[in-house]
Amino acid sequence: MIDFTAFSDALILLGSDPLAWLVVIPGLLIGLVFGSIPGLSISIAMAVFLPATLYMDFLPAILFLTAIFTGGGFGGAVPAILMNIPGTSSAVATAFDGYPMARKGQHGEALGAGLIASVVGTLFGYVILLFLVGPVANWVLRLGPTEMLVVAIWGLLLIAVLNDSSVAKGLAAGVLGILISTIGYSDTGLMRGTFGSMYLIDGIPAIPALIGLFAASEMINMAGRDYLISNRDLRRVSLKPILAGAAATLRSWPQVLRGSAIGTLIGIIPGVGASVANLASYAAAKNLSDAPATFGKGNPEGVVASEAANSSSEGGGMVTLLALGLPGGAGTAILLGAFAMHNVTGGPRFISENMDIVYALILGNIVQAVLLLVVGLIFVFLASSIVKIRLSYLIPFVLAVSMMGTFAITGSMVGPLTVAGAGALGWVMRRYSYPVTATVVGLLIGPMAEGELTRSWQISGGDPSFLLGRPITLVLLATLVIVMAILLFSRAYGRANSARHQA
Amino acid sequence: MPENSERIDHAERPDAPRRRWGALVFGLCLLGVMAFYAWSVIEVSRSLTDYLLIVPAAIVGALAALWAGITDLKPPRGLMAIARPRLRDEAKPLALLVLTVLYACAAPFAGFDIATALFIAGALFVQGERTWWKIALAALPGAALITWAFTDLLLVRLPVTFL
Repeated sequence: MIDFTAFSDALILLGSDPLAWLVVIPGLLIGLVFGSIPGLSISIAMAVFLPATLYMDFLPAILFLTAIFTGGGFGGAVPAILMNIPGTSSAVATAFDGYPMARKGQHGEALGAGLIASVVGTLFGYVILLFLVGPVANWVLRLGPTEMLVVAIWGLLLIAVLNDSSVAKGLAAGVLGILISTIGYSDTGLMRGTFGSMYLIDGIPAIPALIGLFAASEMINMAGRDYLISNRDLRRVSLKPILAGAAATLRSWPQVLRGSAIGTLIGIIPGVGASVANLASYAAAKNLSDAPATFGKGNPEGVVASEAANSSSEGGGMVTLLALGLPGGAGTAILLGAFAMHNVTGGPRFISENMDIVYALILGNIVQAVLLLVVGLIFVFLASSIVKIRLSYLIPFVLAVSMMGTFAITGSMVGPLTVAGAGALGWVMRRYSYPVTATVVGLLIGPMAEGELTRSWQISGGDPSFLLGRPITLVLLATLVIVMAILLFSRAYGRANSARHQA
Repeated sequence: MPENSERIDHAERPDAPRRRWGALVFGLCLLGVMAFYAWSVIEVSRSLTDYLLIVPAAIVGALAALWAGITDLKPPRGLMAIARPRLRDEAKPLALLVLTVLYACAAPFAGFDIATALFIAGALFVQGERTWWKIALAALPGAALITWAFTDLLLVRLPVTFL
């Protein structure tokens, strides 16, 4: 599986180019800062710094960008844990349990757990990439639109069912997200739901909507409270809980490896990436846990599952980028741009002719993951001081930064207006116990679901018997039906049980 | 004195379970919005693929919202009844919500520097801060710092008036 001649050439290549190492720590810091500012994202950071790589050689250029990618992958977890604001769409599930942990004064533990899960996840993804970059290229090509559609339905239904509210509310919230995601020009050039507004032609921007639904609505909800953590004794800033969280995560290595494996697998599928990987891994962790009811209330396993998956999906995404020349998400799309800037085209030919460079990239990224441990530890220690700030001062500043950050994303007032509108919607949804998470998931997977459904329809001509020739789709569908039946049955049983206890 | 004790009794007496009409109204609003959106897409569509996802999804979502609204109508019992927020407890969040919407609407006209300063000052006032110099100290340099960071450090072309 490994070409040892190319492997030793890769080590020589890395050893002879000091610039390849000099750019790593600045790249990690840039990624951490951009990932942790609500409204900014890894892809923005990579896009901003892409021109800076123009005068670098190919290897340092790609290592610099992947360092931003790696740092940003974890950076998004910092505001997700401390303020319930997923800095990036890949940290959505991190907020589910990270923020409740922070509210209980376990912010240090949550940050430490997230950091270690992220480091292990990144390592896992790249080690898998080292072994699988060749053979996996053929397998990925077998996944067609029907399989991708079922993956999208999986994501939405699991989140709709696995919430603390009713299934009906989960479904309504999820569908609302899907419908919002379809506003604007469709793939076929039809204008939907814009009501003549030029600003809505590109649709409702997902990241500002996500920030509004999660962050703005939560910040508005917190108005009138004193601090993020009510108990004064728990408002401590110390390295000890961060290290304790990190150590506990290492002890629960099976969960970390499971999340990493899910993330790598999903990352390999083109067009899916970290934003779906973290949700799928979270759903799997909750499903397989002995205490699923503790998820969403501050269970560190939720943070670990999400962070391990979103970080390992980076390695998975690199598989398709290197092996097929297909980007798995926004980050790898920018990497593809960097490839083009250096006159390099990813794909099987690139791998066969430049195996030493491919190995050098993988090894460089493995070292980056280890460096993230050190840089990330210092970063999260400084970031956790936020719990000492009064909420009455924190709330307006976070909202103002979110507004400006979303203006930076959209380049117009659509971003800030989306934050305000989604914030109001999220606040009302929270008031009537609708899961805003399901809406966010619907919003993120809606475009993919619609695209794959349309393609499936066009290929099959609307004939359902087409599915009989797609064994992977049938297996995925059967598993989905079985899992849903088990989940709904256990939910109904649990409710009947608790009603009996109350009586 | 009797008047006073009556008021205390009334304040301490737990509210009688009330039907959650608001939840039903919200459920019906969701239903209406989904149905209206699906209908508007069908009206302009040219082929089945234009609404292949939207119409079935809207039907499922609208039915789910209606069901959620109807089931929410019954008064909450047990811990849910105690935990349920009353409207007067939500005055501050509501005021902040209105302020946030006004901020988003005012920023393109007033510029982010002025709108942010006014928003921070307003948000602090809404949340109970009454010391004018603390409000001024947070609002003016705070807004200037954030706006400067975005316009000069991150080179975002924000609409501004002074900075």
